[in-house]
Amino acid sequence: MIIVEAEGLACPFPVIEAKKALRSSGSEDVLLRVDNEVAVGNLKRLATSMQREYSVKELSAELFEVTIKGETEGAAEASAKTAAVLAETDSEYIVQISSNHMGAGNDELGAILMKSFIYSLTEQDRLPVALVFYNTGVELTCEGSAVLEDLKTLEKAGVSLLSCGLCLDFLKLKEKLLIGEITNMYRIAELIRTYRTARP
Amino acid sequence: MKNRLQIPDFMLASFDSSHDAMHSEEASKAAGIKARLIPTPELVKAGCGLSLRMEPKVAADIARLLNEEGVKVSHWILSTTIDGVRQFIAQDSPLKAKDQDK
Repeated sequence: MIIVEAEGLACPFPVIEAKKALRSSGSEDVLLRVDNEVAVGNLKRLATSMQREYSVKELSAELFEVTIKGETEGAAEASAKTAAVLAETDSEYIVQISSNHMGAGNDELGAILMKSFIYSLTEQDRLPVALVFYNTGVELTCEGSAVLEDLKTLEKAGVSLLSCGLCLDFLKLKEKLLIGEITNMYRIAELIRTYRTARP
Repeated sequence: MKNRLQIPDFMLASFDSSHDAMHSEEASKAAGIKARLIPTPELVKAGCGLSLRMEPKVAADIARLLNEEGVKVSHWILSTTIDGVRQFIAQDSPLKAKDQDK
């Protein structure tokens, strides 16, 4: 058993200490002492992401012991199985962007969320085949867009960026398109029926 | 087959509130320093859901700027890839490091 004293450490430090210990622990259990529930939550997530079993002991309101079990042969096999299942379900997909913001309620927040969403796409394990922009979504591929840098990154990696021509025309943005291609509804319909579709 | 992009090393500043995060991006822009908000990576989870991402070489300038603006950074984190594995490593404030140099 490896013991890590992580009391008094603000996140993300308990997790960082735990990762350090887990890197070399192999089949040995790792016990972490932390003083707050946020750290307990983060450690649980770390254990789950590494597919390790864990247990939590609340010794007092300000002292918790989180034990993350060592790697077992069974776990290694199970994780290989999970990876195989993930690879199968992780099929090609497209992303539909139907608005210049994400979600309804507050447009200022919605614009920030959309920026975050497009950035997150660049960090996915699997990139989409295409991003399809329509309605006010086409504003994102035009002059004044806050996500051009990320779109460039995606385009360079081979992701198609397709903006609805009718939408550009209607919103008087045709001359302002800065990235990707103009497409039409036949192509959009074909993409949507062919690929699994993700929508922010 | 996976087609994940390679992620270059960068520094992250996390904040306790999303308003601080938004202010930090505006202040950097006004000062002409390249930095942008990104969703705080899952494994970092310090404070609010947005963090300011910047190249490591401008971190000290941004730390000084945010200090002048009265924006409190809750954590400084380096995102780096070691042997193909993404790591988030907590850092001292670049401001502190700079002051010690003097």
